[in-house]
Amino acid sequence: MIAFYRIFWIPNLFVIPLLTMRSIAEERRMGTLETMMTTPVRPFQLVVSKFISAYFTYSAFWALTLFFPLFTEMIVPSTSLGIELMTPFVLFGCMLFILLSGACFVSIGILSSSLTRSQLVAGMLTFTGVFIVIISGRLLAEMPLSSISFVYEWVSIVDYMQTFEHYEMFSRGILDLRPFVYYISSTIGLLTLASYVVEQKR
Amino acid sequence: MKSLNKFDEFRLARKLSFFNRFVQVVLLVTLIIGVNLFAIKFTVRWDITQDRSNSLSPETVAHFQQISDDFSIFVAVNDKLQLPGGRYVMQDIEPMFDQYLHVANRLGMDDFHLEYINIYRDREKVLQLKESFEFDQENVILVSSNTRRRAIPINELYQKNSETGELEFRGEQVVTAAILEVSDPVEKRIYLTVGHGEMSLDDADPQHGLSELSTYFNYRNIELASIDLSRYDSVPDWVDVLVIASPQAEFSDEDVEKLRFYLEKTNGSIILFLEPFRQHNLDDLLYDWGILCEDSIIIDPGLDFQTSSGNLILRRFAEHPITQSLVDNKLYVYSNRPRPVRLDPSAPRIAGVQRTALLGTSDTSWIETGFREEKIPSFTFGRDVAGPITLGVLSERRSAESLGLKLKGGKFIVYGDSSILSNNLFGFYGNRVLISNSFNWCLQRNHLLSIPPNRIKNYRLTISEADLGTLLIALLLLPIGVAVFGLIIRVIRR
Repeated sequence: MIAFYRIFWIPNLFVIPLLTMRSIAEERRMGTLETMMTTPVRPFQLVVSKFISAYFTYSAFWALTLFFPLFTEMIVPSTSLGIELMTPFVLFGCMLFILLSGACFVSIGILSSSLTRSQLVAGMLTFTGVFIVIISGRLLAEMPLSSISFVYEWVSIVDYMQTFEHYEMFSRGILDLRPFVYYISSTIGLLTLASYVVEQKR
Repeated sequence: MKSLNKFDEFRLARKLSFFNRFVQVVLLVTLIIGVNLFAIKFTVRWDITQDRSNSLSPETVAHFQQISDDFSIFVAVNDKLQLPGGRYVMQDIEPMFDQYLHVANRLGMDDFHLEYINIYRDREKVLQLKESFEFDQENVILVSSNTRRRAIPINELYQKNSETGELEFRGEQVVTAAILEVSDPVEKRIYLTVGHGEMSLDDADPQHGLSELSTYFNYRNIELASIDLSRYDSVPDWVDVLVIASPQAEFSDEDVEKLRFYLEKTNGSIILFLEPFRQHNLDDLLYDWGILCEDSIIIDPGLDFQTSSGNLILRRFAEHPITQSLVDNKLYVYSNRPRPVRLDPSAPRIAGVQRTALLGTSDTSWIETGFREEKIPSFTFGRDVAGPITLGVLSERRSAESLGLKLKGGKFIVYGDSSILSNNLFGFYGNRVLISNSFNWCLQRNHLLSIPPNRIKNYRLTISEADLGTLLIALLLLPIGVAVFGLIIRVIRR
């Protein structure tokens, strides 16, 4: 299960842009955003509602993957299984990470969608943003930053934002407060920025 | 018409609005950074596994609380290093050190430094560490505190479970022991007696020298020095362990009494290495501790138990912490010409004294008593004793064990061969492990033996082709079902 969820970044890179690219961009293109702003709906409420719908769909997609270990345990004869396939803490940790990091990625998509009228541009911005968040940490970790004295302090920041390290931790059953704070604060920050953008452009 | 207030002018209003928004964004970002910094400083962690395998043991945490010195750990291990079976070593090492970091942060140990070194990329750093640690192996973990240091080879982190045969990871035990070793303010000293023709620490002779032994233990923060017992009324208190390495002449009665007092009254530790054909005048002391050391030699003609140079290969070990790692890792001890050292059946039973036969020879060996008469030794029924023969015995006194307390008691280890210490044979890994474990056992560097190792879980599904086919179909049902559902929705919406 750990190996299966370790490739979370591949579907996320494509699903999240597809889920979020038309959320606000389409509203602006169709002209319905201005109409909505005349109602007693605040920009932040609009952004949060878009976020919740995209996040709910994202969560539903990932929740379906829980059927894979369930089917395997039902079909494979119990004598062949030397261990519990559905180890509770592994499944819980993996899903918790998927949901937590997904909130941050979806908020990146919402922000990207609020910046432009074009769905395509919004999709590309989201893809780039999610790619930077997930992959750049790993790439920077591979570089010999510690040998460069003036960037030595940045190594700890890079380590803090490493998404793969967060996944490894959660999948082993360690729930650390730092990824929680990182992802939740990033989500709130990005959604707040998106609401500023929406308010600015009305 | 009333002129507009400056602040009502459109341009200024826009600028003010922009400035307002800019300040809000800056404050928001600052708040997020501040919250994250706070989380880094005061982080909390929950281990939700059933066996809490991702947390350090309470003993390790308790020992950490006692450490006041700063220490550093350098992990110079190849990322691609794998165990047999394909598991990467870093899969075990990284989570373990993550726990150490977390505990150190929680306890406010700002002087704890952990660094991963890529041995191919960080060449300068590797060369620096090689110089200061004087190690010549790849894939080691280096622990240092002030001037003391310890290098842990990767193979020390793993052991085979003697019951199940499964590989276990004992990294926490080994690393914590190393940390305690280097940060222990009290330096451990082992003294070797002189004055009876014993082997010397300064001697580089292959057969009789102990220079290799001295160098080896210096790297492990154990100082070896010589002591002449005739200059003291008794064995001094600052002697942690006394080693008698192959005495060629007899001990005086006064010296024997000093040894007896040291063992029985001050609960000291003695490790005695004897050679055949040498009188030592320690028979009474050995008898009191239930050990019989005969003046004969052990012969083992078995082809599996002899090297080409005539050394004996010892493969039989006790289930005891001193020899357990030899059993687990299937190591051998090489011996040149041992004499038997056995549990004395006629010795009086002394309350609290426990004796253990540590190592022995094979079934094809025997005690040759007629070595002076026979040119070619052969087994003689009725005179020689058939194997297996013990050549290492531990006799220790345990006090207050019935009260559940483990207090220091006297320890007396006797080996019937001194060549295992010599420069010639000390280089063999099994010999080093045996000697090292004997010394550490006497120094009581075994306080972490209660930290259980982590079982390495390897998962393997064994299923038939039919089951595999059924499984594949079942797994494909879900994505196909979702795709069909999507198509239905599309058709309905049209």
